[in-house]
Amino acid sequence: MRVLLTVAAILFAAPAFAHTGEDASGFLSGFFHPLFGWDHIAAMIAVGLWGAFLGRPAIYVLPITFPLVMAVGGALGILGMPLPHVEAGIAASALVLGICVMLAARPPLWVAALAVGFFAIFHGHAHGTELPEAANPFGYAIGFVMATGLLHLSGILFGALTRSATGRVVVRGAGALIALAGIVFLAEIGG
Amino acid sequence: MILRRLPLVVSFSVLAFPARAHDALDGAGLFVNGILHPVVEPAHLLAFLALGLWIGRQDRDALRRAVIAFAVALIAGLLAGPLAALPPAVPIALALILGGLAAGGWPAPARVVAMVALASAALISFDSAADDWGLALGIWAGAMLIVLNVVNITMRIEAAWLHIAIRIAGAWIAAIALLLLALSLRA
Repeated sequence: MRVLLTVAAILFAAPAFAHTGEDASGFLSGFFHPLFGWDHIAAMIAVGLWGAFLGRPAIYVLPITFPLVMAVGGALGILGMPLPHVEAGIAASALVLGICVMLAARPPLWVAALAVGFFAIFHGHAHGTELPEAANPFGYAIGFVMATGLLHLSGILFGALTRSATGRVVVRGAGALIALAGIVFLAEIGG
Repeated sequence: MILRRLPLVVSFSVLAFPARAHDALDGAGLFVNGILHPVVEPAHLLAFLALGLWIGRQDRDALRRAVIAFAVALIAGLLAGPLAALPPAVPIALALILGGLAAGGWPAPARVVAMVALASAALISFDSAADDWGLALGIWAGAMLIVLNVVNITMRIEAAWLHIAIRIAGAWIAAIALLLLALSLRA
């Protein structure tokens, strides 16, 4: 209870920010940025779902490594370093990760981390490139990272269904839907 | 028991202050401005949060040494005044490193933990450039409140999933710091 009270005290002290001239839209624009693209949403949730299938330690290694690698991609985008086929990479991430969930694939942890990290670069680069100049960078970065993390969490919570046989079918079906969405995203880029 | 509750009580009394923030900064005085300083300096805030998360997971001996080293080095550095001007990227890089340590969750020897805390305090104190003892004391109090509260929360955690949450929080801090670092380098 004391922990919750302390956290609440820290969080509810936040209105002080409003008087420092900070741009309040920075956090919101950063938070909603990953939520405005279905390709981002599909891939982030797939990461969480796959983590649930892979079990420990992947279920927490992936949500720890993804934001870090994504931030590397974001930094490349912010610094204006070009990365080819960003949109195709993002769409492919939904396809590949969706297939991994659909097949309940259980590769070695390093393979899973490498695959997720590879795609994280594309997602981060897209966010970094599109980072609005006028936004409060600190608020934007917090919102952007938090939204991504919460999407992973949604996937992990949904992935908890894998504890039951029926739930495994449902989660694998969700993987199939995400893979299908990935094909649509790729087709849109090609079209 | 009193000592255990001290961070909570102090946080309520001090962190509740921004509710009267209409005169904050302009008419609040140097001490209060100092307390608010870590809150309006994103890199400092991230560094304090990450440091608290990391040292809070160390053993008690390392934790005690780190808190003492941080507190002494910070106040000494702040009272010594602005000795060196640091590039803006330095405190952000510090937050990135500390976030990475918290994300890794590695235990470290007590001496290493104390050295990291001391180096963090030195860099933050240089970057704060406090030119008044009231401001310096305020910055010290604000920093200690944040670090001690995070340590107090982190050291009590026993559930395995909360240990994971701490590491994820460290990863988030490192990711935010990395984005800010890129922005500062671009600027």
